[in-house]
Amino acid sequence: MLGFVGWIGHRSLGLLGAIGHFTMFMGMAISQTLMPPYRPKRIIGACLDLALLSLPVVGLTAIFSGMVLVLQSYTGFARFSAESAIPQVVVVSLTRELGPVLAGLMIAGRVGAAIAAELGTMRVSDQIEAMQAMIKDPISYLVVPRLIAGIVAMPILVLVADTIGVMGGYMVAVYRLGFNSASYLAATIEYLEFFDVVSGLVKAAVFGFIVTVVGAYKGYYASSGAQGVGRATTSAVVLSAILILISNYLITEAFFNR
Amino acid sequence: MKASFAQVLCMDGAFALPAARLRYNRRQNASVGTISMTDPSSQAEELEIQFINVSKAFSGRSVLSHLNLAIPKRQSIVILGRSGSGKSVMLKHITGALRPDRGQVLVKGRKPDRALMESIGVLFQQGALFDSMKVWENITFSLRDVEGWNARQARDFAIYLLEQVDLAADVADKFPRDLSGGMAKRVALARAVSTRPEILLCDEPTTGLDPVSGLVIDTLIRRLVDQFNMTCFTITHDLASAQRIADRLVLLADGRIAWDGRPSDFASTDNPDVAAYRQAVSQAHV
Ligand SMILES: Nc1ncnc2c1ncn2[C@@H]1O[C@H](COP(=O)(O)OP(=O)(O)OP(=O)(O)O)[C@@H](O)[C@H]1O
Ligand SMILES: [Mg+2]
Repeated sequence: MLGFVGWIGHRSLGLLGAIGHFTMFMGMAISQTLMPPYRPKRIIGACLDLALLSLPVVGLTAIFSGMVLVLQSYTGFARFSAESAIPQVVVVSLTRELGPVLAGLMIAGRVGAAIAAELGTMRVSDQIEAMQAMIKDPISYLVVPRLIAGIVAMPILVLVADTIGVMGGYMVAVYRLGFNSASYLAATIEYLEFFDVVSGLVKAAVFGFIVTVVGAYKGYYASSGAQGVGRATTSAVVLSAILILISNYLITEAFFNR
Repeated sequence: MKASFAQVLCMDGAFALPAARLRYNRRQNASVGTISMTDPSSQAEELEIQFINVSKAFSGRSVLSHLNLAIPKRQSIVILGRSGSGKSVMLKHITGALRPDRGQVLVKGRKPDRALMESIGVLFQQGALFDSMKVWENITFSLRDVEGWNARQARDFAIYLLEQVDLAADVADKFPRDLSGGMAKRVALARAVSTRPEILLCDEPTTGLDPVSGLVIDTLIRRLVDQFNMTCFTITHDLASAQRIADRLVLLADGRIAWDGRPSDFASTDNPDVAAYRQAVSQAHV
């Protein structure tokens, strides 16, 4: 019994310590972001990597989500003759919810994992230590450009994904379910509020931040050996996914009824 | 510090390769002059690196225990010891990457910190070249911001340093993954000395090199000590190389300094740890 309580205590302390460590890393990364040197080349590179190279996979996710969304909401709404609400439902759920969350999860798998693997490899082969010995702060070189890319490029990516998703829904609605093309588009635009888009983009920026900072943190402190890199990569993806889902709820709550 | 070395080695603005060499040679002569004018007895007093009663354990396994070592300025000290004896751990205490469990490590009388790192150059055992950068970018990584060089200037300087470690200019545009182990080691050494550090830490600089390249590296390290007044801390398994580099030889065994003396005395001492080490080495060579 006492052993169990002790175990709980031990684990809680460990968790608190880990949270503190992570928070400190985040603090360092953020303060480095605000300080020179700024590295425009690396920032642009990181943005391109995040937005452009992820576009195919995120676009694919978005288009099929939009298509499924139309089919499913048709199944439901047809039962009480509310098919006309479909364009509205599709565009609102895509911009407010599905676009940012799905893109966030895909980016966690693609970009977050890559950051963790790269920094983890650098850690276990002493490259981070070498960089520490050579410049004032490796974080400003390795982490900050990616962090900025996460915050800046992610909303752009999500905006594109939203559009692709709506187009997917439109195609199914018009070509499969026989909706009138012009009135579907008109309804989509008419019911879309500015705030739907903004809340989605805020989410995107937050998720972009989460994915990059978690990936960087896990890689930066990877333990030695190839195993350590593998573990860092896996836990970066899992932790960012969890944090994305939690913060998604919190942001939705904050924007609720607006 | 960084700026001065680059300016010494190279031109003040745009420079070409032969010009860099010319300036480098001139500087050599000048330094030799300064050395002979300074009083050797006063130099001996200045301690550059100190291990004071240092103990370090990893998950209960003791690696260093009550280790004491004082390294004066401008000395070339070579650390010998069996694999796993804690040589690299010692080096990482000097850079501040590891902190002692007990005791103190002082560099220039201070605990190692970020500011001190500017005067330390490190060659890591695995090279630790940055995978994502070309060789010349690796070598000039800590210089470009400081010197305000453009890419061509930085690359020229890198080629010049490559020449010093017996590598051809075309290596400059390769990525670390395209280098052999021995080439990577030499590139890493070029990177370590690029800032003209006051303290040079080398973890097995000649391991994996052919004898000729090894000799070139040994000569270079010796020259850095003699002509640029560097304090040099070298780890090696290569006794011949140790004899060439060292002013002072130290054997690390059981977490402490088992023998400390002149290289010329190493072969003849009857210290049991040295005898055991010599025997282990000679057996390995059979
Ligand atoms: N970061 C670390 N965490 C845990 N153990 C470590 C760490 N660094 C070194 N060790 C352990 O300390 C001991 C000494 O390691 P060290 O790398 O200093 O050996 P070495 O003398 O450099 O050997 P080699 O000649 O093979 O390079 C080894 O048993 C190693 O496993
Ligand atoms: Mg070692």
